[in-house]
Amino acid sequence: MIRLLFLVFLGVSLAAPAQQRSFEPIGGEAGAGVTLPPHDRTLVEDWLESLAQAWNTPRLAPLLAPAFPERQRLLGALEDRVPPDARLRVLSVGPVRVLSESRETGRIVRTLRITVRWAVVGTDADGSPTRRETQQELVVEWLRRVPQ
Amino acid sequence: MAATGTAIGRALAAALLLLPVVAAAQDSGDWRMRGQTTSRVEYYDIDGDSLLGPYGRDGVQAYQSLHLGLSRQADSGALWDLEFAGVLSASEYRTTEPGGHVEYLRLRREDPAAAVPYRLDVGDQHARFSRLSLDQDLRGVRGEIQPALGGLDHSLVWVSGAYRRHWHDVDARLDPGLLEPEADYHGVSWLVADPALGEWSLNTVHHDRTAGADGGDRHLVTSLAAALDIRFLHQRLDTDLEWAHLQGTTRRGSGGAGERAVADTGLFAQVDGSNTALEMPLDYRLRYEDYGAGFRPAGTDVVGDRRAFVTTAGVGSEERARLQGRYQRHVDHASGPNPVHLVEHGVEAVVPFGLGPVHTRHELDAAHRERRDERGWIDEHTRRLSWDMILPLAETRETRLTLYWRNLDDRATGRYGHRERRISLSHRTRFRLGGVQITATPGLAYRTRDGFLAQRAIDPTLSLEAAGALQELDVSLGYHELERPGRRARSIDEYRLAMDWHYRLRRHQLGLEYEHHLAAPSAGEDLELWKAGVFWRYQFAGSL
Repeated sequence: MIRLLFLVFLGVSLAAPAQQRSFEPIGGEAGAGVTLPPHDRTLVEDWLESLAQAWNTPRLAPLLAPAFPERQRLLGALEDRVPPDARLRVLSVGPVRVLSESRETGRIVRTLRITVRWAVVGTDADGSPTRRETQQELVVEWLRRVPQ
Repeated sequence: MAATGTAIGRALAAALLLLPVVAAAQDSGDWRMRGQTTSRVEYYDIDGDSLLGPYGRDGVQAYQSLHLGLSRQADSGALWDLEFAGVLSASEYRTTEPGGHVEYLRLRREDPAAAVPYRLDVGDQHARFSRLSLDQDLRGVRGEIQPALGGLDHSLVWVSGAYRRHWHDVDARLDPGLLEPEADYHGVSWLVADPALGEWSLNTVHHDRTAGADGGDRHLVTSLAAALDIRFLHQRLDTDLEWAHLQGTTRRGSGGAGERAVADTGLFAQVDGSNTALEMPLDYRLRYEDYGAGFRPAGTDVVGDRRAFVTTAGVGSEERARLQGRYQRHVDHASGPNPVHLVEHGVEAVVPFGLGPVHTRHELDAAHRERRDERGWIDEHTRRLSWDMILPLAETRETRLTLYWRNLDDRATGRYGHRERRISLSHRTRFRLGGVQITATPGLAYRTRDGFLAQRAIDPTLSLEAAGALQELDVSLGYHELERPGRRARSIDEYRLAMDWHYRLRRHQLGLEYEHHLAAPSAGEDLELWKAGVFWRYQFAGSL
């Protein structure tokens, strides 16, 4: 049971809608290609806490992007396969890298790559308490509204 | 191998850190520096059965992390850029082993003014050609040139690198089936971009998993991918297509036993469409995937021997009103003796509803799902219905009610069938006290499940947030009562208190954190756990 739980859990990290690469002109814009300013880690840590609280509940669906691969299948598998008392907790947050940033009308969209260590606390098949730990890489789209 | 890899990693890190210094003598322009550093010290006190709580290691846990970006761009556009993330750790929660760790290091060199514009990345990077050929973290070299040929944009990329778990501090004690496989990758990708014809790429990747302990795959994957942005009438169609062929050998088990030749293909096609000219905007998506039994390319998220057809269509917008339908059909182990079929259809609606001065927002979701195999060992039917109502009583007050019902009917064995119901109610109110804005949110959640893994849980919670100009205090209190008939520990009571205080002053941030857990099962040992932590964070930027 716990192995199945983790297999389902691993799907959460597959947040990158990876199609083919795009043409990125070399020297296209001043500042392109430069390491972007770091993201506010406190905001990231707070969001990861809310993600962990929402895992294995109906509140997870709004946190998965519509373009998330296998989105509906993952949500269905979580509902049907994961024991209802299994809970996810953040142990620590590793590097938070800004992969890209785009400025659109009224908003700034950043793509972040976050390393996070989790613990899944639940009950094993024989009813005894169990805890498993793992490390994941999450790709997160971070949208900030700005005044126009 | 780990020791050799660590030595290579340190040598690479030293070389990459020295290269910008060498380069400083060559280009004009200033070095710009930006980054962030965090010092964190935590103390954990665990008394009793630690498996009842999230934390397993007690005592002092501390680390100092650094994220640094260093760049220099000349007037010609020539660029040096270094990105570094590392940690000095004495925390078993942050790293598996104590000591200094380079978590990420990459050096980029670009020169748009060269005879052939080029970009070179050395170190840790995410190598991505396409969905079916390469989409993988690795440590290595990526070179790109963009020759001007025939009035089209060309990009030719070469990648050579490897993925090893210990470079990324992945705990190798976990089940190998749950971890990303270790492998070496070499590949070339040629992309042509045209405003009218879209982006087309030809990708070839060789991956070799014989260096790792997971198996002996040696595959050559060749793919042709296209991304087209088609517009006609008022329709906008973002289309992604890819066809790939895999050839090589696969070996399972130790030694050379079981090695066999494999050759198979994969196909991915997706159309994202929208029509924003309508009063109620229309959007739709169709996706088709077909991967042969032998098509299991390392360095991608592809699961072999699977077919999928997924479609969604919706009208309206989340801000106003929206109706969306979905249908998906998956076949796993498609070419095996016992394929597993999954079919789901569902509908979602967002509906604002006003009655006099009272305005509410409703979100409804209904779904039906069937999962069955051809031998009759699996035959599950799931029906689900959820309703989320948000009632804004005023600008500063909001009530939220959620109802959820789901029934899984196990028609094959009868063993896993269950029915689950959830209800939750919360109310958020915001007010000012002096210069402090306070948000209070009491809530209550109740969950009951009959049948397989029967249980009943009740969760009252209270969270308080006090935010001033420079500081913020969050307090949350929770109680969790869980009953599980037929289990060794029939019931468990849990209490949780968490407090965070953050203070910001210009580029500095100071935080204090405290957590307290109590867990009392009806059988077995109790748990009492507390954790206290302090951190200081500093964000910096400047020129050298």
